[in-house]
Amino acid sequence: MRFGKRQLQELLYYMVLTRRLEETLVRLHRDNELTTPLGLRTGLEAISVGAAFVPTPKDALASSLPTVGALLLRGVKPEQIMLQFLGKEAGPSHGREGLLHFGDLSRGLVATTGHVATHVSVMAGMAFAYRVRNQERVALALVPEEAVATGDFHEGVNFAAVQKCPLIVVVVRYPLSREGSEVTQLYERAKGYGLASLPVDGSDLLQIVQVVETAMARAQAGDGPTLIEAVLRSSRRYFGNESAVPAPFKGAARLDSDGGEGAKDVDNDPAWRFEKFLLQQDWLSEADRASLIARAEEAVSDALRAVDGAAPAKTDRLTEGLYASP
Amino acid sequence: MSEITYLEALRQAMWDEMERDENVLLLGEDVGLYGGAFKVTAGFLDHFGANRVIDTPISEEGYTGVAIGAAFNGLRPIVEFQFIDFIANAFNMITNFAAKSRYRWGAGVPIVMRGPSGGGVRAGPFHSQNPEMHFVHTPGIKVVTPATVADARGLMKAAIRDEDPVLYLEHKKLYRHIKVPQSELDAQDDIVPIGKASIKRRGANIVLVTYGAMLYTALDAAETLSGEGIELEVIDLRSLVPLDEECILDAVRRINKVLLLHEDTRTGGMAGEISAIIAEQAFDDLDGPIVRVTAPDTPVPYAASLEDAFIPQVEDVVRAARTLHAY
Repeated sequence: MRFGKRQLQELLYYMVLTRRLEETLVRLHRDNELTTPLGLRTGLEAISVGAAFVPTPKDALASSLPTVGALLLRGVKPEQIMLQFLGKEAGPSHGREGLLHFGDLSRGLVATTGHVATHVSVMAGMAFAYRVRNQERVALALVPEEAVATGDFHEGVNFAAVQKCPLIVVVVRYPLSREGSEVTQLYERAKGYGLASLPVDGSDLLQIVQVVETAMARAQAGDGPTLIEAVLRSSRRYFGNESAVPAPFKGAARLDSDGGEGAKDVDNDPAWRFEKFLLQQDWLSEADRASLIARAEEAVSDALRAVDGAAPAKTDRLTEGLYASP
Repeated sequence: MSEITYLEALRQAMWDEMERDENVLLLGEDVGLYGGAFKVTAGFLDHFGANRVIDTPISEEGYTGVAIGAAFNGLRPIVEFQFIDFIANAFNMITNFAAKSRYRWGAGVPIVMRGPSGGGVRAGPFHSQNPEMHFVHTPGIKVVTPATVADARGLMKAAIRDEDPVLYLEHKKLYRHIKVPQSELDAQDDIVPIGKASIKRRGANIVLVTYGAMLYTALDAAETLSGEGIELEVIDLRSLVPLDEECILDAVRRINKVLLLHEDTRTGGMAGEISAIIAEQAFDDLDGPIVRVTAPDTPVPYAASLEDAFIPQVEDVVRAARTLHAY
């Protein structure tokens, strides 16, 4: 294991923070502070934190999954995410966008659109630019399994393969789902593009970190793109409507046992699984764990204070910023 | 004295810009080895190399996305659609990704999307279309329609240097049909600003507003009408977005009768938009109804007889102008 104890604990911290923040967004929704569909999904913590951990902000990342953890790892503050959902002027898109649809090229974050796979070819384009400009960088595109049915996915992945672009595409499979393809092992599709592919347990954070590292090494050696199929063992989707909100975030969403209403699914929940692993290896003490959870809760409380009373998006700039010059 | 065609001017503009700025690159189907379906990019691959002249798989949505991503990393791609009709395949990428990025999250997309548009060459419904209004209606994209050799060069240079996505609609019928002596081109501005119309003929009786290859139909009609004592002022819009409203309104205020002409189909066409602008801002200056001469609301037909009936002809313009003049 080449990661130190601190780094491993930091990985757990980001998973905890992700979940705490998402729980807070659900609560805001339940309290009618938020009316937009949330589009969140539990179970993605290992993928969003694991995929974003090794690549640095010079490596562009775009995701059409609600990968909150990746944004947090890239330095986006929890209050920025809340302000975005709340449609406030101080939010990253000043109310012009909701959900996780925002980008910041200085952090290597590319905003996706409402469509599931348009960013695959855009990220292929970023990777293409890295290659022709001789930059040691990779581009990551994260998509849910539904994306593989689209033409966008095909065209983007095929271009990246033909041009040997340093692109990593992470396709996330949900449990018991075959929505996107008749091919049950999606990584097998990679053969059709002449791509390398790596299947990985989407609930196992360290496995994800490792396959992304392998894919990055391939990309940087000039061997082109890699398709990673990350299979989730447990995942639930939250649209944020009243009927869907309460159940999913009950118990299952809480890392500490107190207050949780459901039984812990320690083996399949990425955060609990990683927490258990660190405890077993003595890389995390009970005291570390408590302080880590307290730190995440404090970060979310601070964020809630920061967004309290935030001004709505200003209407006087409604028509500005469409073009570089007015 | 050598003569420069519209196609050569377009080609020269891209060549010059690629020489000037190593970040400019070309993407499209057969743009490299084959030199483009119309040979607009012949010789580019040998000179600039495969990292800057990229033969793509047939995948308009995909390679437009690639261009957007490359632009995010500092490159300035020119995307060729082999026939502009195929831009329909890239509609989602252009209207949802390229057009909205700056507004949504401040990321500009300096790409040029170009390709042969328009009919008159018996190419049928899928190689003759005028798709401008899909994109005129999408905030965040600029749309230019060069009609002259100088504008083919000048607007391409401006488009490449622009910080936003520019749809550059060249007209395939003009490629080798329009030419000027090199000396005449040398005397023109090297760069034509986007958003500025050009008055191509002065006249006191009717202002005719048009763009693209219809400029020549308009000028021929103006010549015929002049013989009858009806003087047309002919405005070539050159840019549809941004639209030079001031140029149009100024002419309407001086001349008081308006005829709008385009090769595109009628409903939701540019003429309808310009009519509304005039009605809102210069209603009191009108001495007659705003008249549209456009293609009918059908696909572009193949047979010569049908296509000639579809595309506005000189006599259609002459007839409409006579009626308006008599009003």
